[in-house]
Amino acid sequence: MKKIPIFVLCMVVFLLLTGCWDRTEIEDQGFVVGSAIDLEEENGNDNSFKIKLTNQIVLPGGLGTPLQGGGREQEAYHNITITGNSIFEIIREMATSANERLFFQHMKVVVVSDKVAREPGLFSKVMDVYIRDHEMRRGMRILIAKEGTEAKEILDVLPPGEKVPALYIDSLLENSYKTASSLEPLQVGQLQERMLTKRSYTIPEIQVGDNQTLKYKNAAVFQAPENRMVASLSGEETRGLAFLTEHDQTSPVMVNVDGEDVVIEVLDINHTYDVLSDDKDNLAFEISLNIEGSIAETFGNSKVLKASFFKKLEKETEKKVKEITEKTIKVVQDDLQVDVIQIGDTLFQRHYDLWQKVKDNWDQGENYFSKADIHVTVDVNISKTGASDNFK
Amino acid sequence: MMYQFKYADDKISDNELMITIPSITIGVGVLSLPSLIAEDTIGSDGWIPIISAGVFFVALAWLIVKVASMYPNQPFISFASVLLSKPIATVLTILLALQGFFITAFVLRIIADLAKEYLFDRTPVEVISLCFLLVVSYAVSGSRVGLFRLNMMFFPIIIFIIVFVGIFSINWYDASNFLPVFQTDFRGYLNASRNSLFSLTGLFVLFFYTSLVRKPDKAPKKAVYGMTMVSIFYIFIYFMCIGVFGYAGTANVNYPIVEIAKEVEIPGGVFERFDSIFFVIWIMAVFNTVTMAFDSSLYALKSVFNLKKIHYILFLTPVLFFVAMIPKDVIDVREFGDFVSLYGLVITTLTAIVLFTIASVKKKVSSEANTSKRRNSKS
Repeated sequence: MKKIPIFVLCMVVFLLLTGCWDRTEIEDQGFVVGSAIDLEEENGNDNSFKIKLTNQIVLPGGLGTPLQGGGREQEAYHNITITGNSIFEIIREMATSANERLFFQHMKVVVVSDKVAREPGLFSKVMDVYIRDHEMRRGMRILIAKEGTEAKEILDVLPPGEKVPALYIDSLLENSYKTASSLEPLQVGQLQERMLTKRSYTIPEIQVGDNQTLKYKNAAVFQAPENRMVASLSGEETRGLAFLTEHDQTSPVMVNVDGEDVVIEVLDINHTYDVLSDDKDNLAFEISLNIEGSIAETFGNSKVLKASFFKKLEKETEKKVKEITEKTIKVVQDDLQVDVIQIGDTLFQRHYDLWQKVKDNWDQGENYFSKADIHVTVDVNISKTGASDNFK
Repeated sequence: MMYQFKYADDKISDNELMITIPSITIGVGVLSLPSLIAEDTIGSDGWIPIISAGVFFVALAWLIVKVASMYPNQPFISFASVLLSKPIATVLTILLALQGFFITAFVLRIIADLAKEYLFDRTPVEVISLCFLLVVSYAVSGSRVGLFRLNMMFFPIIIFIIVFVGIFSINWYDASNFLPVFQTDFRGYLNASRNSLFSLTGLFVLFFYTSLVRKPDKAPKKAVYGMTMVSIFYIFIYFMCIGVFGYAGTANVNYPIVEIAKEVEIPGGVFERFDSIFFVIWIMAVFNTVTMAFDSSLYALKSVFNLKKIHYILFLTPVLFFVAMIPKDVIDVREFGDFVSLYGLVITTLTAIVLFTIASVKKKVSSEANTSKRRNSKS
């Protein structure tokens, strides 16, 4: 009989002692899925800026399938825009106007306007909170809004069938970069590594296209130590950059053989970097691209399954790729003088002693990079013809 | 009316001793180890300091268990008294007990800080660490053998979770992160080795627990296996972090494995926030560390002053809590950690070497005496 009071005591203790200090109801969570950062105004000479931050918050009620029998279609997201001096300040300020507690663990994209990116030092300053805060995930993608577009506008584009713009951007990045000639999406974690290693880098750009869609193409070039955007590469230049730096790029190359147009699909690219001369004032490099391709489309009527035709096709493709890549190299080396074709990375990884000698004046100061001689050799190997030999 | 369950005996097997080593060493140190090592090394060179520290500790583990198993089933204080005289043995026991006390307090603080940073935004550190401490105190007031069984049970789960994180982060790996190799200077290796040594402390428990082993003749070999497991585990984690973040990234992330766990996603939106599960499992690993450290400290104290175990626990629990709350900020905590590790390293290594030397000299002398006696009796 003595057991009963003890049992009751235990129950009371369980009731009173268990609990959760950090309890938040799911209805009160505002899931932020995207951010856009714009420059509001420049405060003249005291080197401070007003930033405009837009956060996109998902409304879970709007995500589900609409109930049968009508009812008002609920929006699945809303954007909050606030201006302030630092990102963290703005996020806290936002709490005063949002009825939910902002929750960043499901962030997908950060879009930064090119105006912010072009201010020296400002870009790394606004990105800091996205890396430092423990709620942020290193996997979220970072994009630069193309010149003339506000980053905020990007988060408003919603094609039919989609519900939340940030999620649309996320799936756009995931699915399109391999087939189109755009760069691989960049994650915030990778951005931190690139900033830390103090080597120049590129960030993919995004722009508003026709019919309520976005276009994921082109790239912004960032110069290393100041993390400042210096230029924007055009579509064709970005394509050359993709050939030079990415492995699973499947962009199509159109060539002309014996008066017939053939489209080659690139399946796989292997890069080899060789240092031809390591005298630091007359550096010479060779980038060898080993491309595996297949025939995607032919417009002529000759039989494609012939050794001589293959040879010619490979030759032509090599010529074409060489042309594209050399154009890009010319732009980044002569016009921009910023190493975004990863020669610095290669030197660091494989020729560490040489890198120690040149690293402080690599693409700044003396700028050994712009003085270097860079050759490209391309070797194309076409292995597949598709399912059919000749169509006509 | 209350019955206490009694195990058949208070002995453990040599396998349980082997698992004790990963249980006490794998704790909070390994979470920040990759970033501390990457700070001083270039590319993927950090495996060299980890291996050198690992070899040192494998030797140390062998030494400790060897000397303790020369006196099978004798507690530390009795064989240390035989070797060094009773007063010195008492002082050594208290110093080693202090090591267990410090480790408990330090780990308590770290796990509370970490849980606050990643899990409980608004819960005070004091509340988190008090909850953890109460569970630990409850665990050590029961049967000692039960703790070893808990170690055996948790160990595979901890290994599984790390391997799981490693496999599911495979698409974040970048092979070029491992380059360049062998470019670190000597100073860098030295600093990194120091940090690796610091994150491997905890072997002092072997001084006490070896006496619990039923058949200690294989125990030294098992200790070597146990410590080797830890080294391999550390190298695996280090390479995982370098592969994902590169050395510059690893050096600038406070707890790289936690960040990797945050990235793990099972495709199709099945699982997005893996870090919560990872934390649960990791707290199990930390729980093992703390219970081992606290319990060995109690064991040591009990062998010096003959009081009831529960009295020690009632006295030590509040003291532990206050010591854990002394450091004010992150920098203080780090200094506290360095002190705990250095103290443990020095006291453990010195005790092991001194005891081993005296024990082997004594053994030699006595065996020589035996042979000469035999010779004398023959003639």
